[in-house]
Parts: sequence; C-alpha cells; structure tokens
Amino acid sequence: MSTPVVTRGCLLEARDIVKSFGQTPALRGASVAVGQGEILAIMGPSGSGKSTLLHCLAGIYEPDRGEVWFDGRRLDTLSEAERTRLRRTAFGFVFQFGQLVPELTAADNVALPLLLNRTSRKLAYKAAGAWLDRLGLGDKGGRRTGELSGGEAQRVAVARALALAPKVVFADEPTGSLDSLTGEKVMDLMTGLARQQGATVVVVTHDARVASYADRVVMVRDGRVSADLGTGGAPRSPTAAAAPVRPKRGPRGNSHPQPRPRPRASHLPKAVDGPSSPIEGGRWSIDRPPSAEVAVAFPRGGA
Amino acid sequence: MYSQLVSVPLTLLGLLEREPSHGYDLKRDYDAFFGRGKQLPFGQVYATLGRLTRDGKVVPGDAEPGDGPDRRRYAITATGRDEVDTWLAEAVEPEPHLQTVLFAKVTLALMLDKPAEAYLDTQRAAHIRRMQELTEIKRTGPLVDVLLADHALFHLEADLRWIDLTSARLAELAETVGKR
Repeated sequence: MSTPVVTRGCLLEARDIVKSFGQTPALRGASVAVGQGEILAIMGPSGSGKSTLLHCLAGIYEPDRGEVWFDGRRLDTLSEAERTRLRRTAFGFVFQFGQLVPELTAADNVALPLLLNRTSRKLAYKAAGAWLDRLGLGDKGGRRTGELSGGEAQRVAVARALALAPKVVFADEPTGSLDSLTGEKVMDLMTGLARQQGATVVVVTHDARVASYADRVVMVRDGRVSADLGTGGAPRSPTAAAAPVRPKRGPRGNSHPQPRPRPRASHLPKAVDGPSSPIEGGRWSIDRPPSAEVAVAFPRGGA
Repeated sequence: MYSQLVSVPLTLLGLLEREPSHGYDLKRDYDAFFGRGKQLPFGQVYATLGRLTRDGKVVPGDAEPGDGPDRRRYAITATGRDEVDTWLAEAVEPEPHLQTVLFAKVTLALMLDKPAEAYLDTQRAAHIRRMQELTEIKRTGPLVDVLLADHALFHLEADLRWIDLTSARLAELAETVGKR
C-alpha cells in the first residue's frame, strides 16, 4: 500500500502493526489513529503490548509488519537516521524515569535537546528558563536533576519534551513512580500545556485516573487495540446522580478520532502572544527539516 | 446491603434461559451463585415467578403429579429472553459499589454463552467516561467539588480494577460456573 489514506484531522496512525521480540509476540495487528491535537490514552494490563505500540508510533521500534503514518508520511520505512531526526525535531518524550541526566542541572537538561538541534546557547537557555517557569520550577533551574524530587524531575522532563515545540508528546507511564497528588499535578500540567501549545499527546498508562485526563481512551489487550473507551462528555457535578448510560455510544474501534471540545485550562496562566510553533501547518517535512534556530518554542506567555 | 442491587426477577429469568426449571432449582442456583450467604426465601421465588408469568416473561408448564407447590416447570418466553439480553448488554450506572450486580451479569453471561468480555468492555467505557467527566470537574471546579470528585474517582478506579481482574479471570470463572 503506497497511497496515504490519511483520515481527516488524523496526525498519527498505526495500521495493523505486528511486532515480536524473539519468539514472543508483543503486537498482533494493532491499529490506532490519533487526531491532530488529540490527547489519547492507551491503557492495558502488563504485557498487553501498550508500550510497544507507543514505541512503534514514535518510530523507536520498527514493526515487523504493518505501517505507521505520521503527518501524511510513512514513518516505519524511514532510515534510522531520518527517524532519529524526526524524534529530535517533531516528538517529545516523557518516560517513567531515567530520562534526565542527573549530573546536569534542570536548565541543562531542558536546553540539551535544543542544543543538539543546533539552537544557539543563548536561545536554548532562554527557552529552558521560560519552560521551567511554566512548570513552577523557575527557582530550580540551577539544581542538578539528581537532587530534585520525583515530581520535580518529571516536571523537568515535561518541560524538556515541550520545549522542542513537538507535534507529538509520547508519555510512557509518566506518573508511574509518583504519589497520587504529585502524579496528578504532572498530568494536569502536561495535558494543559500541551493543549495550549496545540501538541498531540499519546500517553501509555495502566492507571485509569491518569487516563481520564485524555480526550479518548483505548484499551490494548493481547497485542491488539481491543476497545475504544471514553470519549469524554460534558462535566456533571460530582454529587449529581449518574445519568442514564448509553452503552452503544460511538462506533467501536473508531478510527476517526474526534477530540472533544477543549475546555479552557483556566487554572493555567493566561496565554499571551508569543512565537508560534514553526512546524505548525504542515511546514515540517522529512526532506526539509525545520532549521534548528526556528525549532525552539517559547512557551506562550512564558518568554 | 449491596445484594439489594441484584435484580432477583432478572437473575431468575437469566437462570431460566438455560432450561425450563422448577422453582426449587432456581432457588438452589440463585443461592449458590448470587446469594452471598443469604438465601432467597421460597416465597419470594414463587411470588417472582407469578409476576413474571403475569407479565408474559415465563410460562408455567403443566402441573406434574405429586405434592407441594413446586409441581410446575417454568420456561422463559421470547419476551423474557429479550429482557435478559438487554439487561446483560447495558452498562450499570457508573456509581461505586456495583460489584454485585455486575458479578451477577457476568456469571449469567458465562452460563448462557454470551459475550461476557464485551459486557465488561461496555462497563469499562461507562466508567472511563464518568472518570473523564470527574477529572474535568477537578480541572476547573472549586476545591469542594475537587474533593468530592476525588472520592468518586478512587471508588470508580477500584471498580475498574475489579473489572480488569474479572476480565483476566473469565476463563476460570466460566469453568466454575460450568456448563450444565
């Protein structure tokens, strides 16, 4: 199949992915589509293949069979060098732990990917400072990340992921090592800021409370995407009795994601005009990566 | 207190979908699978069967020779089957403490060779949607609402974990429930 059949509004799609590790099959024909600007949660029990699916979507793993499409292009057939470049310029990552360089300061860690993309030192550190501010870590920029608490370190990781103005943020159990309240704060900041930046988010979690920050939740079971769960709804008061349940709402296995309308993240600092993302609007291409200088995103309202 | 959530008429109707049965058989199976240590009184069994007969959901067979009230076999009607199907397939309201009713539905689904896994998915989806609503409230609401939403979220999460575990144990449960 060589004709891209990109669903309208669809940014990222896995089609019938098969992936094994040695004799062990991890994915057995997994398909999922993620809409532009959508926050998608992938849930599933341990060993269901949910992390493998995320790694395939992010171009970290090469699927054995099937296709991954990103922004109208095949991702899985790119060379390793091209995928690496893509991961550096268009994708941000937040993992459970081990992603920061403990000997470097928080500001170094956030600036690092920008410097790797040949952003000037001055711009990189300016952006890093603005993002750390945004995540409530303005006073921690000079601290080594090894000295930060788990929640602070995860917020640095979120800052680092978003500083690149990614089209997609991939998060694998981003709150896995945090307590409830801290994890919630990380999720709240990550999803709220991603929405403000217009970034798409794919988050893998086994925690339903984490998943409930997403616009849409899918379930992975035995290497397949087995059910399309919540697609949001109008908030009701927590004290209100549950409304009658409509069990057949929406098609199962929906491949036409329709993000629900975003409520304003009114608790976050108001956005003011800032430089918009240089890779918005389809200007990014594999042949013509954005120049390093313009790939720096200043948080809206931050710089 | 949770057993009040189990609908006795629907559960008996579900048991009758396996095969026509005497009131005694129904009581025995109800007590074994759904009674949770509390027996269903005979009086309630016959009163329920009477109402189900009146509503056209079961039909009593001919009286069989012998003594006692239990001389008829009851059989489910098409109306009764439809009612069981609808009940099994619909999600329970995503409020805390639904284990008992969901357990009854899953057990019956396995007895009747119906898609228990799909019913659990339906319930999962209903729970997740409610959790998304509550999370939305937490993002924007006053602290009191946030605390109430937290409480509901933790309970719904506990339900979901139970649903996941039940999902993982369906094969085992199907064996326990057995084919008759």
